[in-house]
Amino acid sequence: MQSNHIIETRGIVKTFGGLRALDGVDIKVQRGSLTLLIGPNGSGKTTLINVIGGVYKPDAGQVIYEGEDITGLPPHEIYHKGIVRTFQIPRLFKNLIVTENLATAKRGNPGENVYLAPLKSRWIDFETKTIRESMITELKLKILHMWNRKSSELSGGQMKLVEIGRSLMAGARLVLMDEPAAGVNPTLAHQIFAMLKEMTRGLGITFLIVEHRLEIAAEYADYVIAMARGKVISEGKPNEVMTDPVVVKSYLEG
Amino acid sequence: MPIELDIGTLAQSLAYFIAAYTIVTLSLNLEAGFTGIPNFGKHLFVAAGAFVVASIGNRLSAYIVSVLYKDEILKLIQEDPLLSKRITEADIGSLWSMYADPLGNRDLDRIMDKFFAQHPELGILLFILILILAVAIGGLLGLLISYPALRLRGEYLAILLLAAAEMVVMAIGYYWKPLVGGTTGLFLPRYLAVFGQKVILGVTVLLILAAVAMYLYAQRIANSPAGRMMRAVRDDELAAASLGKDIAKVRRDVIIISSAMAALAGALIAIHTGSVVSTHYQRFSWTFIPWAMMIVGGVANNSGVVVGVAIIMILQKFVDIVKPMLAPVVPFDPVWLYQIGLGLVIILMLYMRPQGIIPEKPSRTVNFEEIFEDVLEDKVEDEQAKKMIREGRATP
Amino acid sequence: MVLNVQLFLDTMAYASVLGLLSMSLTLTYIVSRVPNFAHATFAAIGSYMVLIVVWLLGIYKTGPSWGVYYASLPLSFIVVGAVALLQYLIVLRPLAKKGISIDGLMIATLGIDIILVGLLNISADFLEEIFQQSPDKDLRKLVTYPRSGYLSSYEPTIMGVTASSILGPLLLVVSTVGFYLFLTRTKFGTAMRAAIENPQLAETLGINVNLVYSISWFIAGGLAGIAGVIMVMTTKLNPTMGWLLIVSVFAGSIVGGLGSLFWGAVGGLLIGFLEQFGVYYTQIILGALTGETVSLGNYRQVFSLGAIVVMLLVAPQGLASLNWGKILSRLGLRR
Repeated sequence: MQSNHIIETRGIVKTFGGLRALDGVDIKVQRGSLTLLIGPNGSGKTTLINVIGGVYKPDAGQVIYEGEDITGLPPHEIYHKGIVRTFQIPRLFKNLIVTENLATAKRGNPGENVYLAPLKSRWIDFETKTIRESMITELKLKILHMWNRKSSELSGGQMKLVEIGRSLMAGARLVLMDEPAAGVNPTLAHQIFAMLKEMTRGLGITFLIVEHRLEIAAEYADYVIAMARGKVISEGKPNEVMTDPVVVKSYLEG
Repeated sequence: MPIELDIGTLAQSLAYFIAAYTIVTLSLNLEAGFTGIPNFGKHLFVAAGAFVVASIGNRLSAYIVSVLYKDEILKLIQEDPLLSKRITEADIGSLWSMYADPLGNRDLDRIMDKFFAQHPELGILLFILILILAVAIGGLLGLLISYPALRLRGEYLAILLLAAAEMVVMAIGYYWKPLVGGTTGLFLPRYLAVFGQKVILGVTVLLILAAVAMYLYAQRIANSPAGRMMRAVRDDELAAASLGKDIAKVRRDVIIISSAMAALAGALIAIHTGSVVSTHYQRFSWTFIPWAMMIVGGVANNSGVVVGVAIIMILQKFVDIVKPMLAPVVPFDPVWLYQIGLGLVIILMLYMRPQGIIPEKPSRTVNFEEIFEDVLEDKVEDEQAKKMIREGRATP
Repeated sequence: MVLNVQLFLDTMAYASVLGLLSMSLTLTYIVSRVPNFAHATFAAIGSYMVLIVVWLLGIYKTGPSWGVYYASLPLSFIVVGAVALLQYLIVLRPLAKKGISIDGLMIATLGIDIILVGLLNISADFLEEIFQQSPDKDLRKLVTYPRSGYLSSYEPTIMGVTASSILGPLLLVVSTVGFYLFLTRTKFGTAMRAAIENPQLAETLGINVNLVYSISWFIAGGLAGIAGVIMVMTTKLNPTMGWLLIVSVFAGSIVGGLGSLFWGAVGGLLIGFLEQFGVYYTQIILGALTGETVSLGNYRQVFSLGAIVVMLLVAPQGLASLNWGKILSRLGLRR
């Protein structure tokens, strides 16, 4: 039987030199939802994303994805399970053009075997489709006009779009995002969230998003999880959580 | 003062150096330029190829020949005034061991040369066998070194590779005589007797062919999805890992391939020179100069590498030519000026144009423009919007 | 056991040279975050200063003399310090400001190494020329020295012990303790620590970070220079004498963790002893096994390479990162 939850953490603990960044975190994320992870600075949101994404190994606890224990797998294996993450400061491949950035995310390209890469016939069809798909994605994200620009030449907002494009190309089932709207203007921020929302409906992708700008994000969210000092302090519908006195208090203290 | 220039010899030697350095620098570029692995011990892998030819190749061919053609070898020895007294029929089985010592090496070489002159086809076969052996051992060495390499950060990796190379070449290569005869070196049999008197020209042509093949090979990798992935790994390891790239595997594979390439160059250099002396495989010649060539020509650009190789080799030949003119004027060997000049060139290039003369280009796996036009045709209806996207402008 | 005493004394000189070099290399790494591949050639420049002193002060005529040390220690400190300072000011700082990657900076230091070795070669040619043309018969005997001289014949002895065996450790201890006092007890030392640990913050506190870094490079170069003075008493003078030595110097710094001057010095010392005694005992063991005399002095760097590999794989942060209290109590040395 398939559960309604695509990902679940159980009692995650992560310490950094005596500091408990995560102190027994249990969360469940509904399949096909846009779930926000909020909390003051230092509450452990990004650390949790990093634990789920395989960047950190937790000291204790489990990460369950589609009923399977994926705790402590390295990032590239987590990716192959169908989870992709983006970063707060976009980590693009700065000397690669936009289209290459997107195409790199494509899963299972037979041309990526270094030994067999010279045999063009093995990968040319797959690659042609990949590049075409990359450009169609660029069109959707309204960055097709930048298709052959080095990604280091893009503006902050455009970089965010390329990162989102990469997770689309990856064919991810679950996308972990670290502040997709940080540092972009409100119009673009709304556009980004509207786009993500559309993807949850159209493609059935689940988003777990760390976000500070609640005034923008809340209207698109299905569910909100609030953290403080390495623990979940409140969760539920956006307006419930945002008016929860515990959450308000944590922000005032944080 | 008139300088005598033998254009033929000059061109041939220039071609040889350009071909050899092209292979080595292309292999360095795959590692350092494309994948971001700072190999500061490239000379180890070039030396490995040459050492395999001299130490294993020599003995193996002497063994094979003395077993398969015992009678002929015996006859050749008996005809030789120096060896006929020392070597009897009973020694034939262990003839190969004469290659362990630099003195015996010369005598045995004389016999082997005569033998290959009579059996050029066997020489060619052994040459191919030894080349394959050198490439295989070069790749294995790459695999070996990749184990610590995968776990280390850039600067630690650079230190480790440089240390390993200096140790193998300058300590073991120089002093452990059984390997390649220490600083005296070892002679190689003339496997390619098929070229007759033109053996140097013949090997030069082979080297040029190998360089062209390696260039095409490197270009194929560069313009494949693997080349793109290597550049992605170089630009941001964590992001590449998050997109499913197995960083350790990519690095290991690249180290193995480029080590094998460097060993191929080393083996061909040895065959060309007809001897192997460990002092020829120093850091300056086979690590520093390839880095200089890559930085001058173009980092992560194979055509740039060829340009860089050509520029620096022509510069070197130029120094060789002016050297006799300069020598009476300055109270030191002008070759040092070349070294100092190269050091300055690297620093100035890094300062003024770190991407090199020909900068990095996208990996052209397919015809991007054609697909771009296709997508525009299929997916964008508004002609005005098409025009704007083509011109690189955002549509409203 | 006479042999062992001599071995120990030789080792003291060599190990303290490595201690000084690993410590000063660590200093440049802390300041600039780039491993300086030219560092061992810094020491070679210091070694050449000894030859120049032997020549200019006429020591080649008079034989062993303390003048060798009186003159060449300050001279090489200043000359090599200046070389290191120039390397920082002219090459590394401008390149780092341009945002050149660490790989680029490393290759730049390799370039500097080549330039310095080129200059040493030119100097060696010059000196050979001067010595050869000299009317002075004694000076003409020095003609082979610029490329393969054993200068130890000019160093004095203290109660039958070569001065370098005593002076080397002494210089290492003095500079380590001196550094410690300087960094902890003086105002400038405190500013220096602040500038190294947090450059941005130090800048806002009005500390001239660039000055601090420049002085660090000068001192590091100076220490490498005096290490070269001691070094040349244990080995043969040659322009490329730093090329193999750099393996041992890096080994010492890596064993020390590239993060602390004290541990850099300890790392260098340990590597010196490891190499010398490793070679000595391996020779004895192999000799006993094969029944022949085995000489492995030329392979001492094998032990350094081994130390680098083991250290990087086992404790990449070096000895400094280990919990010594725990280790000592496990060994029963501390309660």
